[in-house]
Amino acid sequence: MGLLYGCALHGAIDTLLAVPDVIPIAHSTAGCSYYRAKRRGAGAAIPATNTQERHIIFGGASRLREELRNAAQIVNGQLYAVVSGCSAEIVGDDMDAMVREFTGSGKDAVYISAPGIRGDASAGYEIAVKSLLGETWEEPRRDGKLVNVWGIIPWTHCGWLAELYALSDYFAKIGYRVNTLFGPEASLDNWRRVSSAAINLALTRHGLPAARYVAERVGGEAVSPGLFPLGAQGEFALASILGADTAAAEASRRKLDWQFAQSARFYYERVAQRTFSVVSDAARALAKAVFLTEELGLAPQSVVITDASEGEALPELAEFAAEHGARRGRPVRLLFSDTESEIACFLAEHGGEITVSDVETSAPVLTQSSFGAAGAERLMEEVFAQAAALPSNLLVRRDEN
Amino acid sequence: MIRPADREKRLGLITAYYGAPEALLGEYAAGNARQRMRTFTQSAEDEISRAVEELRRIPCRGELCSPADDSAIIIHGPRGCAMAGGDSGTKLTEKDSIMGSEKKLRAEIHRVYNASRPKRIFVVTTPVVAINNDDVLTVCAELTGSLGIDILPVVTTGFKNKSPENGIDYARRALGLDAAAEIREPEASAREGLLAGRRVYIALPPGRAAAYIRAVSSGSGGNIAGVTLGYADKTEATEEVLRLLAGLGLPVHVANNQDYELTNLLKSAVPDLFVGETDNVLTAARLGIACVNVSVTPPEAFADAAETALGYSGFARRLAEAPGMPARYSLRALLRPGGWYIKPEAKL
Repeated sequence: MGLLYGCALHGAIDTLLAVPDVIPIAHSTAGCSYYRAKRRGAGAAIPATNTQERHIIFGGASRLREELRNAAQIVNGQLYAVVSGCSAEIVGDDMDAMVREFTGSGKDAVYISAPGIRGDASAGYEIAVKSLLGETWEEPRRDGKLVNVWGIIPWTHCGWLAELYALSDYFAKIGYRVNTLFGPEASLDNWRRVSSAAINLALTRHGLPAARYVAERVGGEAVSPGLFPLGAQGEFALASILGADTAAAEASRRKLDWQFAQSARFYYERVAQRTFSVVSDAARALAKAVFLTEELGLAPQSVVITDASEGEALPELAEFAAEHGARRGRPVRLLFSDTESEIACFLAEHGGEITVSDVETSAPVLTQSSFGAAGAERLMEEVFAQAAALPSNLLVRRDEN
Repeated sequence: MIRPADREKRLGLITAYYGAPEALLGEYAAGNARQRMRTFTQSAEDEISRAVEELRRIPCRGELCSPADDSAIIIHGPRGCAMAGGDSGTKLTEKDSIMGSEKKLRAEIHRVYNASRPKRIFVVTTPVVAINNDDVLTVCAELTGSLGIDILPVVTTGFKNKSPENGIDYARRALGLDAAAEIREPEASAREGLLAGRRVYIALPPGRAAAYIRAVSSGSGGNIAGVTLGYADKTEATEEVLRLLAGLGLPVHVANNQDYELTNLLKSAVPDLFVGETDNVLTAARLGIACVNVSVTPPEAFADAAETALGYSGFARRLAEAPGMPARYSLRALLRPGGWYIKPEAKL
């Protein structure tokens, strides 16, 4: 039990590690870069200065200089990215100067200021993405079928790799190509092609700053489906904003129709009229809640948002809670928290009969993409599996809170 | 709050060394074990996560300090620090770093107290709090009085010590216990002839390393291919390991989670079996080496685990083909002798 997501430093390192040509170098105290590997299971032992008391008192710039020099000898990379932790920023190490000195020796390097005090992993994602863009801009050669996908944060979002692959497959079906920026096929060459893409798609609100940044700087269109594209409806929404052929979405819709049909008996014996809770990041939580209510006919009991604070403006979520609160005559409870113990306490009091969660707390999640019809099928399976474990007689189910 | 004497001073603990065990034995015998430093390091554990681990393990006045036993651990620092393993964190921001973090700490203690009514709350401090010299002790003392439960500060900094082992002492000190005494590890199980003709690399802290060296060599007939100690100090366990290695004519390597150094040594040693804790096991497995993870394997199950690991190392072989750090190390760097960038530390 602890916090689900790390800090800006962790988000930045995760983002950089998902681009194979980039070598992140943490300039921070020991532990900072270790925690993320330990927690997320990524296990990459990146170069890290592991600064000591003497570096806090006298400055750690010289320690960074020797780390950079040796890292270049030991670890092959096209771009070395120095990511600063809290201690280096608070004591004011001149990392910019060290990186400039290093680049003077013919190596490519960038300084990325992402101390943990600057925010959560999504803040680190945004900082790292903008820094990488700054290093890789090229004159745009407009490609009307190339799409940059923003807003899926490597290792932070559960099933991120599966989701990126699923999106890539879908775009291929509708005649577009995803510019692969993260994962095994990503490269700095692809980052140089960012400026050529006609479409900058922000799948979550964390992708909006990058999509808008690129669009404002080199043109191209920044678009967002609004609701995360879950289910056949999500596929239609994506095709619609691109003006693309909807044949693939229609095929997905037909497949899902068959899945609904073959689940119907089980549904009416074990699932119908159940209440549910969702635990997820804001984008996926709302998409799942909408699917579960509008397509699966379940009643929302509560929603836990793991990547936003209560003060953040999430109007669609507030609207969903208000609408269903009015429809059911009892409030749909909302919790904004990434603290596991707090979430567990909340669900013990306000949890529905079925809880769908895409929060990775222990075992690695490999295939869980929330995108499209396949995401909807996985969600239905999750609901059905939980419902199968509940008493079949709906009359004995526990009272709702 | 009195800080416990660092293990570096109290026990002559060192975290960096590669060379002859006889020379290190000589330094300890003369009482002047020299600190060395690395000019290249990789992600490594610090005292904070080790303190949290210890809080969950040691008895708190007869009970275990886990949430199930009515204790809560708050990591007082930016949100990333809570990934060290606490139950919650104060999630400090830039504003808190400038304006002070006491308000956030009070609020989190109250939230945790109201949510779960623990019998005690540990407040584990972090680099930002230490650098800014935020007053944690007063907040803990005041709330101990007003809430009527123990609010116990664990004054870790993340940068004052070289070894994460110090975290154990900070945790114990928070409970009014003495610094941890040397623990004699239980013997690992052995089976005659099990490892005959096999080369085994061991990467463990001194006490455990000594137990597994005995189980591998005298107990199971294996050959020691090399040893990495998580640290060395002036304890009997370190001395035993150094004497064993001296007898075998092998160098000793001292490192805390240094992936490149271990990769380099393993590529030279070419062991059939690796015995270590999780982080080092990941390094060895990425080279395709069969591994026993003693973090999760009890000593009495070692012989069975070794036999199974040697017979079924498919995952490690598969992992060796996956991208990762070993593939990123330059060939030139992998051909250099181990620990080439470890040098004596200048005294300030």
